[in-house]
Amino acid sequence: MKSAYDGCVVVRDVDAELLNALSTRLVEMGYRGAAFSTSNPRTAKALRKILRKLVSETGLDLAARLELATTDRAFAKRVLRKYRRSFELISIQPDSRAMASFACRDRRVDIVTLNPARYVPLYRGDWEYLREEEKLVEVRVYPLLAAADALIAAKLLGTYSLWIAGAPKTMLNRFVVTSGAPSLRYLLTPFGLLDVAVMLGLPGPGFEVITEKVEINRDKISGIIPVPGVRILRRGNDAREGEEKVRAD
Amino acid sequence: MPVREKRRYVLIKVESTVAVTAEALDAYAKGCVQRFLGIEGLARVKPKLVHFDAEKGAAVFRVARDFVRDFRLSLELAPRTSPLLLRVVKVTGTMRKAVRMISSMPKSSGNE
Repeated sequence: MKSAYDGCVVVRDVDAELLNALSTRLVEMGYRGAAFSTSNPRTAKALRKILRKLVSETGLDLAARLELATTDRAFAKRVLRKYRRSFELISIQPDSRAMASFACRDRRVDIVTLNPARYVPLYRGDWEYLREEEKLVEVRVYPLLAAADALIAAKLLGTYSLWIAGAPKTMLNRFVVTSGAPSLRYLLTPFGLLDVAVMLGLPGPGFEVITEKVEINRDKISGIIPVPGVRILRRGNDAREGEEKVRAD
Repeated sequence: MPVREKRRYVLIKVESTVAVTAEALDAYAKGCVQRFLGIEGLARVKPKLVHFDAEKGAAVFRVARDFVRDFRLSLELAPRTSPLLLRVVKVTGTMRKAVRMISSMPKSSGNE
């Protein structure tokens, strides 16, 4: 599986040793890249510094991701305003209807993470926003692995199924399955993520869509996409794949 | 006329903090399948330990071909509270190929 990408590997404290071990294990498992997720926006600089080093060492495509799990919309807006350009991906895990609605509507949010411990329904309008903004909906495997009892795991799996059953058919390819692993033990192989996706009735684990999202956001941060719908193309040796062709057309 | 059952050989890397015997490994894998798929699922998947290399921390399970995905999913979603963790490395069509892959693997350091 060449395009395997784990969209969420949780790093609570930016520990270089742990990040190194996680990256090595990801390479062993056959991943092409991963997004390291933190919930503390102030660690952006330190995280990006370590990731740059790891990219050159391991050859993985690593991205920094911020996860907001707050019920305070004003706080979320403040953080988004200040830190949007510091992270390749930003996700919100909504615990209330108001927050879910905000996460679906706000253009600065890339991923809406589903929390199986608390079912928050997504309505037709929310799915419309998700489709228009090309956002992703994330299903994490970590809660299933961390559940102490099989019955709790079954309940969490049932909650995920409820969201997927309520999603429009055209939105199923916007779901991404990630490990959400905070340590080496909770990492899943790419085939494991694929199997979970198939079990939940999804067309796939969404490796391509998340890679595409990371690349678009990198272009936005670096100024190649200054505003939506505009892309600055380069010429000659600086041109990326396909750019010369677009210019000729 | 009865049709011969098709099988696959699943190469597994054993990550354990304690010493593991072949019997314990077989029982653990079967327990994982039963936990996830139930008794009926266990009967369909038919996992059986056919090769175990304690030195390299690798094992080969024989499973029914149509249920390889179920077997892999059962192991992937096994609870992480257990000291034993099984990771699927490769699925092969013959046991010879699986054993050959084990012999090319580096020796396990023992602990995770």
